[in-house]
Amino acid sequence: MRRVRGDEMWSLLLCGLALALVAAPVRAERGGGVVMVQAQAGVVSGTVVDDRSAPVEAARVIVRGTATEVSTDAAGRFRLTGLTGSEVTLDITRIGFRRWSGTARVGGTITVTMERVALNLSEVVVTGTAVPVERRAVGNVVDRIDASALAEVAPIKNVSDLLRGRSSSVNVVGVTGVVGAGPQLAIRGRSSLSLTAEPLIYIDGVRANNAVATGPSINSSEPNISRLGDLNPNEIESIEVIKGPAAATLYGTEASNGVIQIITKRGRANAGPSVETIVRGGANWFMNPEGRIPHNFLRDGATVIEQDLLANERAAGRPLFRTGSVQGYDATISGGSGIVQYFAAAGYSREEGIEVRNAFTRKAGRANITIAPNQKIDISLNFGGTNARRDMSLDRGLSLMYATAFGNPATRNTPTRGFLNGPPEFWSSAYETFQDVDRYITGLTLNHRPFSWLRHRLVFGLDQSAEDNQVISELQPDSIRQFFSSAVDRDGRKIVNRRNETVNTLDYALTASTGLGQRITSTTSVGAQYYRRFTKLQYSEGQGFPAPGITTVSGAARTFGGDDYLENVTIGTYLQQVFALNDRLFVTGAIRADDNSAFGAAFDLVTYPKASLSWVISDEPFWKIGFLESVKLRAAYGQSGLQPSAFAAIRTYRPTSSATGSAVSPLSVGNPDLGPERSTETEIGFEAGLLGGRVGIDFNYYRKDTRDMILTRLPAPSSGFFTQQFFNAGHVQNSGLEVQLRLSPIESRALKWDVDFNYAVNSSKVIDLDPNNPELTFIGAGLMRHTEGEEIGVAYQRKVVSADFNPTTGLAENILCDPGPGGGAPVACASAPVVAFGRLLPKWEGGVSNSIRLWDRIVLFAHFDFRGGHLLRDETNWARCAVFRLCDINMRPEDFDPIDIANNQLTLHGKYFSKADFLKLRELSVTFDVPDGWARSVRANRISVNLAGRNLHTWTGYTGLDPESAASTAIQNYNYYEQTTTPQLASFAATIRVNW
Amino acid sequence: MLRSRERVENNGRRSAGRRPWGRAALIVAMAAGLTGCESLLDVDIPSQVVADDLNNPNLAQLMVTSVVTDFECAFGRYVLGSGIHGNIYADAQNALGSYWTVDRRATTDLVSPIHASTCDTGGSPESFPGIYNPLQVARFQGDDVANRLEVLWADTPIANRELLTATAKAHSGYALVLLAESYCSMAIDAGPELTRAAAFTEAETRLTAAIGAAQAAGSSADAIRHMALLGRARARLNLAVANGQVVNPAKLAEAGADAALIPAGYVRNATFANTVPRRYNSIVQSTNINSYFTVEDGYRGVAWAGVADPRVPVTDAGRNGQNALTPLWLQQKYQTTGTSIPIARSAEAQLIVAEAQGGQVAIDIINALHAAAGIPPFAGGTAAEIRAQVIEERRRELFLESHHLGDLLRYALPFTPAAGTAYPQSAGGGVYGNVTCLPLPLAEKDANPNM
Repeated sequence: MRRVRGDEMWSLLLCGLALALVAAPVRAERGGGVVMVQAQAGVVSGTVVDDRSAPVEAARVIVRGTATEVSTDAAGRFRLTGLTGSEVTLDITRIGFRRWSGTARVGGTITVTMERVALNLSEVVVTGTAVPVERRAVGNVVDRIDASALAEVAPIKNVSDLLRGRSSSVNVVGVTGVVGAGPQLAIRGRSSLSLTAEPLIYIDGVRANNAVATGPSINSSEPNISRLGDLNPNEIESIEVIKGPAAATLYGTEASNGVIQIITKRGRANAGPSVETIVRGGANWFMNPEGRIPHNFLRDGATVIEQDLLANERAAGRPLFRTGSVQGYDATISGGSGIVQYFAAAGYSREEGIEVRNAFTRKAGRANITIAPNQKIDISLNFGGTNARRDMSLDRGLSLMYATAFGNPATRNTPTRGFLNGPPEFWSSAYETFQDVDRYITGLTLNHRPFSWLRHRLVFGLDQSAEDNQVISELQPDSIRQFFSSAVDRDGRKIVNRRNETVNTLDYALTASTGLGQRITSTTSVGAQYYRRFTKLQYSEGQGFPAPGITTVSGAARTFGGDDYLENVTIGTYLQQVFALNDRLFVTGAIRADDNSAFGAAFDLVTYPKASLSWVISDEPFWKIGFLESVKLRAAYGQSGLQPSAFAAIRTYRPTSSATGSAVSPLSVGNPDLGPERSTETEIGFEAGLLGGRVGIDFNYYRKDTRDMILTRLPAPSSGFFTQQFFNAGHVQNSGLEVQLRLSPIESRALKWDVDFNYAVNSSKVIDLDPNNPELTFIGAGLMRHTEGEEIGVAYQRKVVSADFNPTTGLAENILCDPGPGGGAPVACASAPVVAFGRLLPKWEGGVSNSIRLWDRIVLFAHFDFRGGHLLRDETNWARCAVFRLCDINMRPEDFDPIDIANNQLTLHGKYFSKADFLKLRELSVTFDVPDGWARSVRANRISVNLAGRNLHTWTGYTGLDPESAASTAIQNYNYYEQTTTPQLASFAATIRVNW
Repeated sequence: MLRSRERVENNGRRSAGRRPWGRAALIVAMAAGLTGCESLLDVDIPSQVVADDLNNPNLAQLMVTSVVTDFECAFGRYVLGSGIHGNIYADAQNALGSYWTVDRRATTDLVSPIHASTCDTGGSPESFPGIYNPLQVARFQGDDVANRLEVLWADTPIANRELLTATAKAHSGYALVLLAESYCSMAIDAGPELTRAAAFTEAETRLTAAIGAAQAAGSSADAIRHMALLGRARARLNLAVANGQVVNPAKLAEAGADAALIPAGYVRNATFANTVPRRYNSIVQSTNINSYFTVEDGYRGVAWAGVADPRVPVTDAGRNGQNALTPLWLQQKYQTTGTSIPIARSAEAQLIVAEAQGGQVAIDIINALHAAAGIPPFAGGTAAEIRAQVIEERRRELFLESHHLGDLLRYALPFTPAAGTAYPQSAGGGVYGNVTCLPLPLAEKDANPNM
C-alpha cells in the first residue's frame, strides 16, 4: 500500500507540542490535589426564579474566582459545597436572562430573581477553546438556536427543520421533498468554485460526518441524503452557527464555510429523574398537485389532446400520490447528583412520502453521562447511535413524478397509459432503492480545572457511519418487465454501494486566566487538534437474475465489484490571547497553523491569524442612553481555509484490467504546489438590548475575501490526462449585511408575544480568476459561469430578443438574439454570444417567527421563511417543451409568444431561467399545556399537546414544481436546477408530550 | 498570592524524590510519541498508482499492456461513436442523453460526449462513447511508453524491448489514424494544431518505426508488424485520397504495397470482456442491451442481387429504443459484450489493394469476398464503377469495424439524411446539420498553450 505526503518536521513540531501540552495535566492534577484537601467546608444553597417567580432550570451558578460551578434543577434550586470563607461572589447565567452577580453568605440560603432579556450578553457560546465564553467577550457573530424550546412548539422532524430560516445567511437548499432526503447548506453565500460549501459540523465537540448527496442512484437519478438527517432533533439542546473565518479561525483548514456546533441535551446536577415521552402522529401530502403537475399535449390531426394524468388516475380509482403517515415516539430520562449527571434518549420515527416506495424510518438512541468526582474534574461520555432505513423514490430518472411530468399522450391508449416508460404500478414495483445506515457518534471529553485560573480539555471523538446503498430490480413478471427501457434492468439487476466513513477527533485545549492588576484579565489559550477522515467504498453489482425472488449479487449471471479508500488528515495548533478590560472591553488575538495530507508536497503548513474586539459600551460609566440598556460593539478579523480533495495534488494512474491481466491508465495530472483556499473575513457589528429588554438587535456587516481559490482546469486532452487539475488562483469576495431582531411587544401574565426576525443580504463576487492567465475571464460549466466582476454562479445562455411567427410552418422565424454586453443591434442567434440571465445564489433570505403565549398555557406559533433575488432553472418545463415537445406551445404555437416558440426551437431556456423568489409558511402550530390537575392525575408534571403544520403555503412566481428544490449532485458545480423534483411536502402532526 | 503558593508547593513536591522518575517517564513518553507521530500526515492511497512508481523498468510489460488495453477501449468507443455521427446509428435515447446533437451532425467544439466521454468517467462510460479523449489517452500511452523504452530505460536491460516498442508505437499510430479519420484537426502532447494530413503523417511515422522495431524483434513480432503495416497502409490511403479524389498516387501505391504484405486470414482484434464494464464491447452494451441507439436505414436489409448480405447482419428488434418512441434495429455481428472487434484484418488489406490497383485485381478481390459471404459475384464495370464497388464493399465487409466515417470523409460521400432535413421530434427535434469531420474540442483549444 502506497503512503504519501508525510512531513516529518511538521509532525515532530506538532507532536512535540501535543505531548508538551498533555504533560500539563500531570502538573495540574497535583495542584488540584492540594486544593481538594482544603475543600469540604461551607455550603450555599438557593433558588433561582424569573420575574414571574417561575423556577429557572439549568442556570449556571459559578463561584467567582474558583472552579466551582453547578446548575439549577427543575425547581430552580442549587447547592454549592466546599466553599471557604464567610462570603462568596456568585455569577448566575441562563440563556434568555440577564446575568445576575452578587454575594452570598457561606452557610446561608438565597433566592435570586433573574430578568428576561431579548439581548443576552451573558449567554455562553462555544468558540473552540477549552472553556465556553460569554457572548459579551466574543467579537463575532455566533447565532444560537434553542433547539429544545423550538421542538416544543414547532413541527421539528429533522435537524434541517431547526436550521431553515432561523439564522441569517444560512441558506438551506431543500433539494427535494422526498422523505429521508436532506438539504445542502451554504453560509454567507459561497466562495469556493470547486469545493463543497458545506460547513463543518461538530456534535458535542466531536467533528462529524457532514456528507450530503449520498444514497442510491441509477439512471441519472439523484442521490440526495444528508448525514445531518441521521440525528434525532429531540436529543438536541441547541445549535450554534459560526458563520465564517472571522469566527472559525481556531477551527483551521476546512472551516472557511463556517461551523455548526450541535450540543445535545444532558442531565442536571442535583435533579431527580425527569422523564419525558413524546408521541407524534400525522400525515405528509402533496399540497395542490393540480396546480403544479403539468398537463402534456399531443396534436392528433386537427385535435389537440390534453392529458391530465392526475385526474385520469384519480377517476380510475388509482390516485397518483398517497398521503403518507407520520409517526414518532421518543422517551428521554435525565437527572443527576452532584457527581453524576445523565441524559438518555430513545426515539423511533417513521414517515412516508407521497410515492409508494418512499419512507424513512429512524431509530436513534443517546446516552450522555457526565461524572464530576470533584469540582476540578469532569468527564463526559456522549454516545449517540442511529439505525435508519430510507426507501427512496429517486427524483429525475426513477420516480413517478418523473414519469408523470414527461408522460407522452401518444402512449395514452397503451399499457403505459400516457406515462413515460411505464404506468405507476411499474414505477412503484420495478425498483427497490434504499439506504440503510448505522451510525455511532462517540465523544469522550475530559475537563480539568486544576486551578481557578487554568482549565484544559481533551476530547476524543469518533463518528462512524456505515451506509448500504442499494438499487434492486428484481426479475419481474412480464406485466412489469415490458416497461423497462434498459435490458439490463429488465433482466434483473442489483447495485450495492457501501460507504463507510470514519471521522476521528483528538482535540486538546488549554486556557489560563490571570489578572493583570485590578482592571485587566488575561486569558491565554493553546490547543492542538488531529482530525482524520477515512472513507471506505465498496461496490458490487449483479446483472441477470435466473428467477424471480433472487436478489443477491452472487445470484446474478454477471457480477462486478470494486472498492476504494480515501483518507485525509489535518493536524493543527493554535495560540489565542484575550485581554479583558473591566469585563467590558475584550481584545483577542490568535494564530492557528495547520497542515493537511492533501496539500502538495511542495506546499508547507499554512497559518491563519485572527483578531477581534468586543466592547460592551453600555457598561461604561459614561453611558447615559437610558432606553438602550445594553449595547455591544464588535469587530473581528480572521482567516480560515478549505483544503483540496484528498489526492488532488498527486499525479496518479488508475489501475485497470486488460486481456492479459493488470494495466494502468492515466488518471490525475496532479499539482505539487497545491495548497488550501485561504479566506480572510472582517466582521463589524453591534448587539443592542433596549426598551426594558423587549427589543434585541443584532446587526452585522461582513466581508470575506477568498484567495488562492482551488480552481480546476482541464488539461489539454492531448496531454493524455483528462480529469480536472486543481490549482490555486483567483479571488472571490463575499459581503453582506445580517440583521436579527428579537421583539417582545407584549409581555403580561395573560399574553406574551415574541417575534424573532432575521434577514440577510449576500453578495458573492468573482474579483479575479487567474492573475497568471489574463485571458481567463470566466469559468463555465453547463449553463453557468463564474465571470470576473460578476456574481459567482450566474446563468448564461444565448437570449432570444425578437422573433416572428410563421402561421404556415408553425415555427418562429427571423429569430434574433441579444448581441451581448457590447450592445448594438440584435444578431442572428447562431452567432450570438451567451449572455447573463441572473445569479443562481439567493441575494436575500431570512425568516420570521411569531410566538404568542396565552395565560402561560397556550402557544400559537408561526414561522415564515423567504429567499429571493435569484434564478432557478426549471428543467421540468424546459424539457417538456423544448426537448420532449409535449407542451401546449408545441401544439398551438399560434397562441404563444414567438420568443417562447423560438426558445423551444433552439432548445434555449428563456423564461425557464425562472425567478425563484418565495415566501413559505413553514410552520404553524398551537401548543396547549393541559391543566396541572389533569397532569397530576396521571402523576405527570406537565402534559402538552401540539398541533402543527409544515410547508402549508408557498407564495412564488417560479414556473416549476418548487423554488426550494435543486438537483443535489449539480449543486456542487453551481448548476442549480430543478427537474421533476418532489416539492417540499406539506405535513400535519399532533404531538403529545408528557413530563414526569 | 494563592496561586503563587500553590506553585511553590507543587514544585516542592515534585522535587521531593519523584523528579528523576518523572523526567525519565516524560522523556520515554515523548520519544515514543514522536516515533509514532512522525508520519501523522501520511495517508494511504490504495486505489491509485502514484506516477513515480511507474518509472521502474521492471514494469515495462505492464506499461505496454496498458497501452494495448487503453487503445482497445478507445477503439470500441470509436466504432460506436463514429457510427452515430456517420450514418450507421441513430439516437434512440431519452433525448436528454445528449447524443441527439451528435446524431443530427450538430456537434460543435463545445462540451459534447463525443469529445469528452472516456473509458472511465461518466455514469456509464461503456454505454456513452467518446472519441477524442479516449483516443488521446491511448495515443499518449503509446508515445509515453515508447519513450520510456527508448529513452528512460535505454540503459536498462529489458526483455523483448523491440517487441514492446513495436507494440507501443503501433497502437499510438493507430490512435492517430482514427483521430485523423474523424476530427478536422488535433494536437499531440498539447502541441500546435495539426491538420488531418499532418496527423496521418505523424501516424505513418510511428507505424514505420513500429514496423522497424517489429522486424528487429523477429518472427515473434509478426502479428504486430502486420498490424503496423496495415495501419500504415490505412494512413497512406488517407494521404492519397482526399475529398473523393486521388491526390497522391504514389501514396496510394505505397498503401497498396503495404496491404499486399498482409497474409490471408490475418486479423488483429480489439478484445473485450463480459465481466469488466470498461472492457465491454460498447456496441453490444449500448445498442443490443441498453437500446440507446438504432441502426439507420442504410444498413437495414442490405442485400446483393436480391440475396441478403450476411456481412451486415441487422434485425428489427420489434420494440422501441430507450426513448420508447424510436423503432429499434440491432446489429447481430457481435453477440456479447465480450465479443472482439477487428482492428485490422486481411479483408481490409485486400480492399486497399483493390483500391490501389483497380481493374480485374479489384474485381477478383471483391468476388472472393462475395464468395466467402455466399452472395452472387460482382460483374465488374468501368473503372469508376469498380472503385465505387470497392467503396461499397468496404461499407459492407468492414461494417462496424471503424472504417465508415473515415470513408465518408475520404470519398466525400453524402451524410444522410441531408443537412436541413427535419430531425425526428420524438428524438429531440431540430434539423440535421452539416458537420462532417468533427471540430477540435474547445477543451483542447482552451487548455493547450500552443493554440
